[in-house]
Amino acid sequence: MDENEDIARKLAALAATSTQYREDGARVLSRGIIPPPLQAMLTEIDETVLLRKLIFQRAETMLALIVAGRRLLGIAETSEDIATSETKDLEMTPLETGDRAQLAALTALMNRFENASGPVTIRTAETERPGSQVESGLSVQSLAQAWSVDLNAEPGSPLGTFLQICGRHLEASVRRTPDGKVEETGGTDHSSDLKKILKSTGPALTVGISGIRRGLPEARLAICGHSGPDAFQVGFAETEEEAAVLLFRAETLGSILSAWSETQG
Amino acid sequence: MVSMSISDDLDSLREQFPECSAIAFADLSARMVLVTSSRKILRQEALDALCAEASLLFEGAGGSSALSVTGDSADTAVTATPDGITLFLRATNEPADLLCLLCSPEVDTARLLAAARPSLDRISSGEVA
Repeated sequence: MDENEDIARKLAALAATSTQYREDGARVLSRGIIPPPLQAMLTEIDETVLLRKLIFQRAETMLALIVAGRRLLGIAETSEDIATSETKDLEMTPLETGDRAQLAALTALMNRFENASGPVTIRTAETERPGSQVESGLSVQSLAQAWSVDLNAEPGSPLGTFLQICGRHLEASVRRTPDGKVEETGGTDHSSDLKKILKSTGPALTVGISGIRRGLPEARLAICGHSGPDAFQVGFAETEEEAAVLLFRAETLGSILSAWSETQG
Repeated sequence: MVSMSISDDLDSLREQFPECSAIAFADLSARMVLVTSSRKILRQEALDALCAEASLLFEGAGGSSALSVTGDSADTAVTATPDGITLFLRATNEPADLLCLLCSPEVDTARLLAAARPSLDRISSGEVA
């Protein structure tokens, strides 16, 4: 990519309406799940050429990294909730390729940050280089490999991502993909009922709701069931290109709705 | 003894949940909202739409929910938009009695449902009037 293309891409990114800023000037990198936090953070490192401190935050959890030349040079500081004695020892220490103990401590730290909850934001600040070696630091590719991040992963469809997040909460699901295939997960005695909902009664229901909601925001997720202990609920979700039927236990309703909100915003 | 009205009960429930902007108590068989508690005045069209939506979710075109896999009548239904969710609850002993709760997506649904169910059953049983 030549310099002009790079600048044009960055200007386009800056102009993108999807970029959100907090009142303190922090930019929202991830809403928590989409895009995956580590992938988004590695992209930021990859786009940082001059020496900067990248301050990542998730609610009260904070991680400040020193970055230059598209490489991670060191850890500036971390909040107490994710710090360990190993990571404290790493602060302002130059990171070196081939130091397995360093990489293991760093990976564990990143996993703790990834497991924190809430949107990920970033601020940048001036900083000093850890150590004196100009050639130190870890490349984005080596970090991606260590952290099991696929930098080229295409974002999944909103509905596919929704089902992925719902994952362990689902007793069963059927999904019609954009190419018309029906994918089934989970074993259930109600498989034929779920397929019937996917094919006919679910779409008819949302058409009916759309008719009622004229002028109001369109409801693309409808759920019905029982609220008692061990009771089941059935949800029908659809997007422009896909549809899915979910069978889940009533006590996980909140998680299902959170996943929907996360992926459809 | 201070008697509590249905409005008081609904107001009290809504005040516990800032994410809940409105609650309506309705008669599903008559498709009519009887009492509301709301931060803003809800237009009649919006109230009618709530009843129609609940009717469609619980009873469908043929009298049973389109989303049923067991054939049993459901007591809880939800619709979700990018802006918010609407929860519908039917009373335990009187399925025509319905509570509709309009909330933002951040609402703790488990806590809300746990609080709303006793409130609905109190209203439905005539404990509050």
